[in-house]
Amino acid sequence: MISVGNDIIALDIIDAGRTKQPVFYSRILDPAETAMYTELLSLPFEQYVWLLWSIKESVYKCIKRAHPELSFSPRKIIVRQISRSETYRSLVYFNSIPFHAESRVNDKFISTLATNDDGFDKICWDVQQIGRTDPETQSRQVRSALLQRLRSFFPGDQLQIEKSETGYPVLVRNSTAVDLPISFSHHHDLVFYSFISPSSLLSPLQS
Amino acid sequence: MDRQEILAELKKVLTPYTANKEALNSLNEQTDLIKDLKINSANLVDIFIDAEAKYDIEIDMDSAEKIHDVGSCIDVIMEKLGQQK
Repeated sequence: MISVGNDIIALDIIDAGRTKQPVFYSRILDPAETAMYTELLSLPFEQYVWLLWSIKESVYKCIKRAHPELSFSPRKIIVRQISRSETYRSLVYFNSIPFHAESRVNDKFISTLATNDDGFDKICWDVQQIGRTDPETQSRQVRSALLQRLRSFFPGDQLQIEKSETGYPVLVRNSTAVDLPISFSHHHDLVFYSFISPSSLLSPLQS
Repeated sequence: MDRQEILAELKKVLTPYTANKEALNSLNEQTDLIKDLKINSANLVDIFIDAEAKYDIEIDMDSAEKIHDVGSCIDVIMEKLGQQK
């Protein structure tokens, strides 16, 4: 089954000095990933570290749906290739299973989408800036934005977002859990949601 | 150092990264770092590094993977302190 995961990093609040210390980045990057850093990526090293963090966290969320027992261990998710065009595209492995990630970097944030599919055209997503940074507001706003977008696919239906026992988000449509991969993240004053477009799935979703 | 003493010190390590100050006030071994304290996962590495400095220990990646709540954090710190003896 196609899955999706996402992550966002607000660049305003990263600690660049600490990120550049080996004691910090060596917990996230393996030596090959550190060696892969190149100026061709047009990123300061601290942003490279957080780019790889967001790729790894997104892939972890993508895997978690099928492997709920998994805990996040950045060094076990390996970024093998990364290239830059309009976005950063990367090929990532977890236990020899390939994943693809697409990241955007601007002066405010790094955002990443990850999927086990070979393309990103089936993924609906959006990043929004919110007025507050407390966890309750972040959680409420990201769910609200996601539900608003999902309603265009399920007009007239009662939709809500719940969390599975192991922590991944689940869409509930008319009181029944729907097998539609969704993901969201928030950091500081930014929220980010993504889901596989229901119209791209082969079989119609049952409610 | 017993578990209560470690918990009291751990509270100081967690404070700068905790968004839910109420949960911090009632911190106990069952308190989940992400679900209850609302710590952003991006700060977990900071917490491990700060705890290493506080207790003069090294939290390797396998140990870090086991940490999800205050109790498992104390388990790892006690294990690492025990290894120093």
